[in-house]
Amino acid sequence: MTHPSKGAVAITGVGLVTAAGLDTRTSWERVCSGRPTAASDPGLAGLPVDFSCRVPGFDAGALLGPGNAWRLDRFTQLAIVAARQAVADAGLDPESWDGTRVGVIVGNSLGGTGTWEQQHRRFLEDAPKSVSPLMIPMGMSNMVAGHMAIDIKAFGPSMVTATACASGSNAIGLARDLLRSGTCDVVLAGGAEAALTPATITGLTRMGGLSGRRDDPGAASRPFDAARDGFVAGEGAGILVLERPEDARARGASVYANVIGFGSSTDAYHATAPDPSGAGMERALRAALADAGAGTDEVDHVNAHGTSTPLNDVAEGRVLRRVLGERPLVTSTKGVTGHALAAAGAIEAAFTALALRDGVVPPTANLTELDPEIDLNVTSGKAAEADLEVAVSTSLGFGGHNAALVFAAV
Amino acid sequence: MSAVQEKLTGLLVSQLGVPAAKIEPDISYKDLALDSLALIELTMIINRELGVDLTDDILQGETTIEDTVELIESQGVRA
Repeated sequence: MTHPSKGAVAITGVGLVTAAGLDTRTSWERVCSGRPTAASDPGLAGLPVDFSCRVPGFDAGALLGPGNAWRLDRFTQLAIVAARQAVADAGLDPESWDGTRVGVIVGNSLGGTGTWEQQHRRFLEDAPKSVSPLMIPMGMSNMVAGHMAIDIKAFGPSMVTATACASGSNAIGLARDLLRSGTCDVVLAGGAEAALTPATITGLTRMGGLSGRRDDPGAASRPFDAARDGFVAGEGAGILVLERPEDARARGASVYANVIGFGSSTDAYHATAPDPSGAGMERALRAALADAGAGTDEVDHVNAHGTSTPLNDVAEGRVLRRVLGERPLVTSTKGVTGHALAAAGAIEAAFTALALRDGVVPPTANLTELDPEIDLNVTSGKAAEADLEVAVSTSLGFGGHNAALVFAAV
Repeated sequence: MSAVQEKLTGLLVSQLGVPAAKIEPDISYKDLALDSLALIELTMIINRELGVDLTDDILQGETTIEDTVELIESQGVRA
């Protein structure tokens, strides 16, 4: 059954480059296995937090060509590879499409931290004239959208949403609006982040946000678990190809799931701490459900933000319980992937669509003892098979940004 | 091929990903698809790796590989 919502958009292509794998199939299989990816990270050696969820074996030179790869920061490299996967998966061809009708909306938060940190080191240790002329175009956040547009010949609107860890979800929501309004016929939407660099990770560590479980990194990302102590920083890119369902149907494209609702709100409470009342997140979730025309009792599955921080998981758990009751099978795939920051919402939107397609809810890795303050039906241990019609993905970001997306099976 | 040209070719391939097969003495940077920012990057690399002091604007799109070798050698470097 297809949920009878108006203004839905179809997901016709998915590209994923995550700590769980270099493509969609590998990432999804790893997430469904529940095996965590967090591991000691040589790039962070000597730091108080020296582990992460890094994309393994990503060879930008081989994937993008050596003449291109050196000119792009890693977050842009990851995004372009994911975008190419998504376009090919959708069965679209940038050589023949009308690029003026194609848009690109990508979430990114921290920009090219590897570039900034390396060039700043050169600036301090050497001299101003040792700073690369490519520092600015490599480091700027928006360049991920600009380079993606060049790569896939997209001449419509392109921009970056920067709402911290809600960036990827907001990108998909805005992309949906570009399709609804008729501005675009195809939008590539998602998120990308690659900020596993020493000064940036040190900043997150100093905030007290990261897990300190150095002796057992694999067990560090444990959303909703009583023994959780922070998130594990990850990286990656997730790009979706979105089209109006009638357009997808007309060209015979296969559809993973439809995006049927989007809600966005702001806590306006504190720069980095979530509002403990969860009022902002609740507004986003209720707005998304109203937009979808879906009842609170219709949601079968939630891919939660579930960062594994003590504050987030309790506040989010209360909102999910209050709004959706005990019905949905809840998971946080961050137990496997870590927290890919601005890319997280997009990667999790892809996993939510795959869950609807396959009727499978991945387990929350490392969840052995549910926090007694969290009263949710959280899937753990192994993946659950279920008949899923409607699913929600939630994302919250520093700055008090909240976003929720509602998806329906096709 | 002079030692300097060999070194320059190696840097173009290893640092900027230019296909080795395209590098001929009379080919220009424009024909190697290196834009003005890439040429400043190349100048920095040459200065660092060959111990010369080329100015940021000396390599232009029309500059060829053999022009560059002459510039480097004119600073007394034989690689």
